[in-house]
Amino acid sequence: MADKKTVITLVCERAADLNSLLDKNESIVGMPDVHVVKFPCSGMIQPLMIEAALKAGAGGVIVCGCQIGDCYYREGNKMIRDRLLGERPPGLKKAVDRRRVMALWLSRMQKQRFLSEAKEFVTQMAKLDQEESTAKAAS
Amino acid sequence: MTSSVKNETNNNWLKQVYNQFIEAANKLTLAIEDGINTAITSKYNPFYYHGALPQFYLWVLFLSGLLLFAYYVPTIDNAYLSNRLINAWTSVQYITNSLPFGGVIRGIHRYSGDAMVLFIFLHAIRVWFTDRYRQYRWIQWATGVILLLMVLFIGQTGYYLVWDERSLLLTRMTVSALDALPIIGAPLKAWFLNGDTITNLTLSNFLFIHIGLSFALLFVLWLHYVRMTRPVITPPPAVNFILVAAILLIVFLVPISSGNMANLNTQPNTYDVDWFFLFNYWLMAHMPMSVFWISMTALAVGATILPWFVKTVSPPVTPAEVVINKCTGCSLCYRDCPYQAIEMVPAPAGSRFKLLATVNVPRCSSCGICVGACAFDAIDLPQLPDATVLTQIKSLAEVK
Amino acid sequence: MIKGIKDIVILILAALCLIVSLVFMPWSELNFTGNFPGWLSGVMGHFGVNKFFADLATHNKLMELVTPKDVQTNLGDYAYSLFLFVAMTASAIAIVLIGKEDDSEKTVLEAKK
Repeated sequence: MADKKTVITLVCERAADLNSLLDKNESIVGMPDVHVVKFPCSGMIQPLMIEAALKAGAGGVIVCGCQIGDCYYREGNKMIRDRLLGERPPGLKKAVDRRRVMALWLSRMQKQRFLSEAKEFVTQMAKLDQEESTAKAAS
Repeated sequence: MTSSVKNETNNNWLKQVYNQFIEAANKLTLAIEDGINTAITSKYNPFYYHGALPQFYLWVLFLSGLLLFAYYVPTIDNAYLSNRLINAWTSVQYITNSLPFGGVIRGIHRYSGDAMVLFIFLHAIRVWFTDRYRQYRWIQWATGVILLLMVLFIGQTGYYLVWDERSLLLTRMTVSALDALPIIGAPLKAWFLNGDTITNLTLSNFLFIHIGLSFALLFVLWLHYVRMTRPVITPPPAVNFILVAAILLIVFLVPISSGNMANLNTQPNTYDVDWFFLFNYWLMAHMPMSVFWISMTALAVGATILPWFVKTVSPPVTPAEVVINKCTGCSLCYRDCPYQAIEMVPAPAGSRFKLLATVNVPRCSSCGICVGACAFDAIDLPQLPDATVLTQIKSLAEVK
Repeated sequence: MIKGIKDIVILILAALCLIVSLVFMPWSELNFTGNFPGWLSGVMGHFGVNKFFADLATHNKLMELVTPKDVQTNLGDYAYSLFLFVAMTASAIAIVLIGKEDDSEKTVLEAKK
C-alpha cells in the first residue's frame, strides 16, 4: 500500500448525523482519509461532483441521503439514486469506475451503520487500488 | 422599556421550550420509523405514505358509500305514498339486516371514516413534528386544515342520515348551535333544515350535504396537491391490503347497528359519542354556546395560521438563482423540482436557446435539487454555489 | 428454490390465503351450510364439498369463533369479513416478505461495460 487515497463522502445534512463524528479537518474521527462534504439535500449532489472527485484522485465516493421515502424535500434522495443508476438525467459518465461509488440511505439516527459501511468501503477501495497498481506493474 | 425586555425574555423562554419539544418529538418519530424500517424496510413503511393513507380511505368511502346510496331513502315518512312505513331509518335497517353484505358494507363505511380522521391526524402530527408544514408549504397546511374540517362535518352529516334517536338529538343540537350565532344564524339554520322545521326535505338536504361535500373534497384535495410535483397518493398494495383488512376485522368485532327510530315528538337525551366525529357535540353539551363557538373558531383559525407564527432555527430560505447565460433551456430542473418552483419561459431575444428556466421565488425551498439536475452549472444556491462545492471536493480529494 | 425460513413462511402464508379464500369464504357466504345454488350443487356434491361444509358447522369451537356478537341476521356476512381479513393480512405479509429488498439502505452501482 503505497500512498493511501482519500474517500469523499457527500452527505445530506438531514441524513445520518455525522456532526459528532467529525474532527476539525471535516474528516471522520479515526478515519482521517474519509472526508465529508455536507449538502442541504442529497438531491443537490451532481454526478459531475462525483466524477470530479474521482478525477482529482479520490479513491472512492460515498453518497449518503435519507431513507428512501423520507426526503425532507420530498424526493431528493430518489433523484440522486436514479441518477446514479442511470435512470434519470444527468447520469454518471461511462468512464466512471462504478465500483468506486457507493450510496447509503440512512436516517438521522443511523450513524453506526454509516461508520461500519464506510470502514468496509475504505478497505475495499484499498484492495482495489492494490489490484490496479499490481496490474499496472505487470503490464 | 422594561416591560418590552421582559416580554422578549418571556418569548425566548417559550421559544426554547417549543424548540425542545419539537426536537424531542422529531427524535421520537425517527425512532419509531427506524424500528419499522428494520422490520419491513422503507418500501413498506406506512409513515412514508402518511398522506396517502387518508386518501386511500377516501376511495374506500366513495365505493362503500355508492352501495349505501343506492338503497338509502332520504325521508322521515312516506305516509302519503304507502301504508308501510319506508323512511331513512327503515332503509338503513333494510341495508343492515336484509341486504346481502349490507351490514358489512355499512360497517366498512363507518369505520373507514373513523380511520380516515385518525390518519389525517397522524399525517398532520407527522408533518408538524418533522417541521414540514411552514414556509413554502403553507398552502398544503392551510388546505389541510380546511380538508379536516370538511371531513369532520361530512362525517357528522353521516350520523344524521341514519335517523335514529341520536340523529334527532344531533340535528336539534346543531340547530340550537346555529341559532345562537348572530346575524348569520337564522339563514344558516334555514339552510341546514331546508326549511323552518324538520321535514322530509331536511333529510334530502342532509344527503345532499353529505355527498356534495364529499365531492367538494376532491376540489380541495386538488389545492392540497397543487404545488407538489408527483404527489404520493397511493400506498403500495401490501399496505392497502392491511388498511382494508384492519377495517374488516373491526366490522366483525364491533358490528354497526342503529338505535331506535327517531320520533319527532320525543326528546332523546343520551347517546354514544363517536370520538372521531362527534367530540364537538360533547363539548357543546358541556359549555355555554357562546364559549363553544368562540373556542371552535379560535381553534380553527389558530390551526390554519399556525405556520406563520412558528419560527424555529432552521436556515432561512434563499431561493435558487438561474445563471442566465449558461441556461440551455433543457427543462431538467423544471422536471425535477419537487415544488414546481421552476417555470420554463421563452428565452430572451438573441439567445441561442428557445427556453429559459426561471425560479418562482415564493415556492422555492432552496433544497438544491435543481442544482443536482443541472448538467451545465446554470442554476445555483446563493449560499452554497456548486463551484465552491466542486473546489472543496477537489482539494479534499488531493489531500495527502 | 426454498432457502431459509423466510421462504417457508411465505409458502405457509400463501397456503393459508388459499385455504381461507377457497374453503372458509364460500362456506360463510353460504351462511355456514353446504347449500350451493342449484347449478353448482351437482358439481360440488360430486366432490363431497357440500357435506364437508355442513360438517364444518358442527364444530362448536369454530362456530363460536366465527359468530359475531350483537348480531342476529346475516351472520355469514360478518364471518366472511373476518375470513377476508385473514386472507388479506396473510397475503399482505407474504407480499411484504417477498417485496422487501434485503438492503434498501445501500445502493451499489453495477459496472458499465
